[in-house]
Amino acid sequence: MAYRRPYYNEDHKLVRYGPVDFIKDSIGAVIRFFSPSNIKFAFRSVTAGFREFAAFFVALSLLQSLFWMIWLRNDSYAAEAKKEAYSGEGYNLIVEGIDEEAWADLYNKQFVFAEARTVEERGYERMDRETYFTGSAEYMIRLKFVLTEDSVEYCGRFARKYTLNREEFSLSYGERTGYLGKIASVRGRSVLTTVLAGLLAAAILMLLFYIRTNRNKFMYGIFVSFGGGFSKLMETAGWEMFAVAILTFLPSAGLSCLAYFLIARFQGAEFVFLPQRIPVALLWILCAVLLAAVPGIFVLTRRTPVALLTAADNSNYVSSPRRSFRIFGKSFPYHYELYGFVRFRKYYAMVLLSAVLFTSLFSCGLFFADMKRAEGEAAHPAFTVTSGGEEIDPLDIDALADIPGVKYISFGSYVFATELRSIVLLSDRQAAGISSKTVKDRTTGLVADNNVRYGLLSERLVTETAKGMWSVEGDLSKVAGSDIYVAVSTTVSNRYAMDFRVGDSIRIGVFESAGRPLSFEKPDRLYALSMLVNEAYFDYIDVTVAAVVDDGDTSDTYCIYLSDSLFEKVTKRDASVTEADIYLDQTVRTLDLGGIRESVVKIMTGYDGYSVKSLDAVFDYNLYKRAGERLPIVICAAAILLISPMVWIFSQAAFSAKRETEIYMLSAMGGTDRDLWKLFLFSGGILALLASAVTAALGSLINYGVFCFANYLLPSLGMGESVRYRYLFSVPGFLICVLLSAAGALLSTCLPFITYKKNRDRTERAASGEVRRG
Amino acid sequence: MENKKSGRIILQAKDIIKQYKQYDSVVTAVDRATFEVSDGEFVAIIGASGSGKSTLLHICAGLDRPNSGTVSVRGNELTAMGPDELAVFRGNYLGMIFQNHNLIPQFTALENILVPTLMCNKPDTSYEEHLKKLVATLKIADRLHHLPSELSGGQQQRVAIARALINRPQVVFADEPTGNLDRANADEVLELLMQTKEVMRQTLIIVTHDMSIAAKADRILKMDNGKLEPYRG
Repeated sequence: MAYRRPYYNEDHKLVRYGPVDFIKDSIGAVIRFFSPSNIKFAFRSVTAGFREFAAFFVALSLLQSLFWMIWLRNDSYAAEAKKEAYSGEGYNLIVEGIDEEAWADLYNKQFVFAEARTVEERGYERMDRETYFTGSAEYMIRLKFVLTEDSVEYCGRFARKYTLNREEFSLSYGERTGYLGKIASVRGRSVLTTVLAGLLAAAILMLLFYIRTNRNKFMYGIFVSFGGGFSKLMETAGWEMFAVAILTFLPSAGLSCLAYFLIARFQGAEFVFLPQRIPVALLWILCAVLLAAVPGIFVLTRRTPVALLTAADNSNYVSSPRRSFRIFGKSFPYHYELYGFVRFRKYYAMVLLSAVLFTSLFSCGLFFADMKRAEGEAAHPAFTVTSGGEEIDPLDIDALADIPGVKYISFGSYVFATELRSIVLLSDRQAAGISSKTVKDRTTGLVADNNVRYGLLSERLVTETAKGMWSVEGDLSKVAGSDIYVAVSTTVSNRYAMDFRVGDSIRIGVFESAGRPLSFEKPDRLYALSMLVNEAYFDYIDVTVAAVVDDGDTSDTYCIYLSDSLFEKVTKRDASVTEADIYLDQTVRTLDLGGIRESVVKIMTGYDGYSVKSLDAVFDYNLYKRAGERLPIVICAAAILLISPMVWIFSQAAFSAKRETEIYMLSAMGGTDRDLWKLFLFSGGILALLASAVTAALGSLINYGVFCFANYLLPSLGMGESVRYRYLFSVPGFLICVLLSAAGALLSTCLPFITYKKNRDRTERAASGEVRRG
Repeated sequence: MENKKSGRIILQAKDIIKQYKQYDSVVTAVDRATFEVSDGEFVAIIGASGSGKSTLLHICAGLDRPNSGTVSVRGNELTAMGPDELAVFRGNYLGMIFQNHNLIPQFTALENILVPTLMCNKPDTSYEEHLKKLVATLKIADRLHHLPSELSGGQQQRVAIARALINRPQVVFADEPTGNLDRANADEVLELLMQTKEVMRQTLIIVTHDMSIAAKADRILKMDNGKLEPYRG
């Protein structure tokens, strides 16, 4: 692809470059790229110049191991999920509200349909139910298919074929189908993590490649001077990277498999190796390598050869000495090297940030692993039951609580203050965390807020909370049946925003009337609150905080829990329970879930319009127990951590090589070996201190960023797990990061002194005639 | 500028300006340099150190870009070419001998010589004979497998010359090719360049501050504070 415009050839004749020539050249370039000589040259180059490519060997081994760990982990996780799903009871499809004729029709057809698919197993169940109003029987079919990968699709086809055009049918998917959705989400997550890991790999390789091209700028300058364009340099650089990737492919795959096999053994989880991952892994690493090499070579070939050749004398990070070389009257080597830090500030900033980034990612990985554990162990309801508006009888709640396997039940009724045009008046201290979202009430001098919900706290619920459902400060029993005591939660979007203390007073404003018609045209809560405070009349109820609770809620409102009578007074609604969340013991198996659901349904069938929704909590917890995510994440984080010393050594070796002439000069001008060793040591010491400080700062910053993202931002956007994470900084992990950064900085700075001495001795030997000269 | 020979114009430089920014001031290295070189001509550019002759040579060889002005080789405008197009053109038609040899220290003499063939994807058969002749003429046949650090200054210069000539360029640019050599070696290297120029019918443009070398050129141009003018010495 040499010429894209007409040009004059050797005989001064104008030659036109047409599309055919372009196609020919393009094909030629591709053929040349894949020519055996290129591949042979690349393999020879990387094996003969192993030291030169050592950093890439280590990086590509680690990155490919990371890929394998991700896929082995995800494949094993998917296998565990499948096993867990297979172990579960329940149904795939539930068709309700059909008459006998339709039931018979479906009964026959589903057999035909199922026969067409598989003859191994099909199941159906007939449930007759007397309806109170019509007196006729209502039928239900629950279908259970052979659970395979395409079961979800199969259910969909069945639903479309037989029921979708029949409006009187109520069709829902059972939990077995839900489990398959979980397996699909594991696969989706695998693809996402692979893409993210690919980008991370490309970024790391790009950094190393940048250091390499910077180091070999002179060589590339010569290549470009004598005809090397982008495609030619890519042929060599690209293939060299490919060669390293291919040479490290098998060892990293083998070691990762072995490591994951041991992890799986340790965890008692399944080990799955799918051979079809091999081409994916190759493609993944080739893409990462290409992504890494293309920008570096592109930037390089955009510069003029002269710029590349003349830049060879410095590291490209080095600032002009003129600006900082004020060493007159100062001591050697300490002052000299301190000024060196000013001279090379750009380089040091770059190397510090890039090397320390990986240690910070490690500490972030540890934190992420803890978050995963918090997610796995957090209590989630297994079922949500609703009565369809009717109050759930306390006896039924007792019956639900008595089902074997049920740990506790959370139930109640919630009303948002905004729905009632109600406000609460708080002290400045209580509302300090939400001060920007409140309005000052000029009459009382208190702070008005309506970002609150009122919850019903019955005596029955107080009993349930004692089972460990909430953490409570104060006396919750005072609230039930009282008209003056309330309980309050303190979190808003997972943040401990409210400063409530036991004994605090709160004024609840129940909307009475307004001086003029209130217009809430603007959908802005603060605007509405301001209008309410200024224009509305309230009937105030003074209450006292008897208990401060952590109810585990992650939503963006805090809650004031009221007794039945107070609830009715404030909300002017019945204090009736219409909804309950059922939490199960962590010993419950997925296998037992069907039976528990049966029992729940049996109790709830007495309510018209009831619903029992399964929430996969047991499935998730059992899967977490079988294939916990913590250890693989920690191992991946450790793999990333190992990249840090490599960046130190690789960049410092390149940098020291650039400074070698300077060191020789210092030696020639009277610097003794002892002085020069002090220079290296001092430089390494300063860099180690800086690295420790930057590691601590950057590590904390990144961890806190992840914490805020998962704990505050995602819940406020209505995404993420309903889990409250704790901001934990792993002290051993933190110490490892700091020590590794310090050691990396110190050793990578001091080790080149040995190289310098070796080179000097060799030069001296050469001068004395040991090495042949022309 | 007048041409001594009446052959076809092979190189045409027009109003070349090259400026460098140094802190607060702007240094004009080449100031509106205009000249033409005919096919097969030997042109020497002389001038004091820092007068801008190397910069001009780099621009003419397509190794650097001017701030303004145009350079054409055989009617092909180098200054309008993209980086890749220019690289391929340089590799095929232009040869450069650098002032301080610029040999790649990790490569042997032979590998250094073959860099242009590798960059331009020349098949082995196209240069094998030519390489043998070159190394024989340049008297470096027994030094081909040595690293640059194991060669003397004169030998390094010969390797650099071989590298510049291996692709049979039409125009050879030489930046102080004898600058680091003693008189005997300098004369020998110049003789070699003249010889290959005649044999391969090349155009030779040399930058030098040595008048005895410049005197052998068909035409001498003088660079003074970035301005190019005919030498009237």
